[in-house]
Amino acid sequence: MIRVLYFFLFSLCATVTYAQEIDSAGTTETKFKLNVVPTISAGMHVNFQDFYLDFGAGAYDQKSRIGAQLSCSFRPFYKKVQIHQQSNIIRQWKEKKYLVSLDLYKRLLKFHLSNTLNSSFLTGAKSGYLFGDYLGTRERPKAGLTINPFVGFSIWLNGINLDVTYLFFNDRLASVSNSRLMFSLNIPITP
Amino acid sequence: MNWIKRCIIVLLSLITAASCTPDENSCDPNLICTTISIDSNWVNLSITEQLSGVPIILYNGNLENNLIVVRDTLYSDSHDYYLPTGIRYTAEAYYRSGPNIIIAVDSKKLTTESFTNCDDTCYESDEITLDLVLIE
Repeated sequence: MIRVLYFFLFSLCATVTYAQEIDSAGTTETKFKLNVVPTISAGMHVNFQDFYLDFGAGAYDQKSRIGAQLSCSFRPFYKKVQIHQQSNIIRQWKEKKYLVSLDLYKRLLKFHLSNTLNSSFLTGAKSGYLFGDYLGTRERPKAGLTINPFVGFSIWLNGINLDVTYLFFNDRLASVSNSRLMFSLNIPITP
Repeated sequence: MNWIKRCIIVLLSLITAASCTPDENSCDPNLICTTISIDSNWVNLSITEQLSGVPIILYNGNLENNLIVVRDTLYSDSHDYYLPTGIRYTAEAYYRSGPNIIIAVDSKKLTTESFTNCDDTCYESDEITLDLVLIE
């Protein structure tokens, strides 16, 4: 429930700011014009207990500064996890997990870090299907849909966006914190 | 194209080049070559030591197959078993922790690989360690 509220809150923030930008443009002709470029991205999200690699490809509208991409995140190693099987029986498995997600994001409020570095705030959500497997058994971790909001900032590095965000990622493990830092290189493919 | 994009392309090229496998028809007369097929190797079980001993069960294949190879109680933090290669082994260790029982599981395949060197077929096999040590 908290995650859904988070998502709606971020979506609302993004939409409100978007509406203001359109109003400031002033004309109805420019309202629905798109300037879309394909993007690819590579990154990771980490905390002190876990680490996922993340790759994606999608599109970014340079006018509205809204992007969408299909991503695949995965833990590149088997991690020991403990799961309560019955009231007094705990299983320690070696687990690998994957997330196939649709990432929606928006860059907000451009500002200058220095004369050469442009940046903006970034908000969005990774929504998708989380699944995995355990070593040595046909049993699998509980799979399902998940919505993971993120917020942070983005630095434009002469052709590439370096995104640094806080990600709320619930991978359904009690022993791993839901808070993560996500680092991502997002490359718009412009001619 | 700017310098960052160039750096990424160079990096990806290096990774691709590094991941290439060596030429299968190569010949190195100094290479130590085992020409006899390796049919067994060591399976090491690594556990968290407990005074009362840790019961373990070693299975052939997945747990669900229930093909028990060894049933034992270990009193030291590691123990080796010499077992046939080409098989996936799965081990369970049973720990007492207050009112709870923690069952740690790990699984790996004991493999033998072959390659050709100077017209000889060479075999190699690495022993495996099943890590049943409890999370701290």
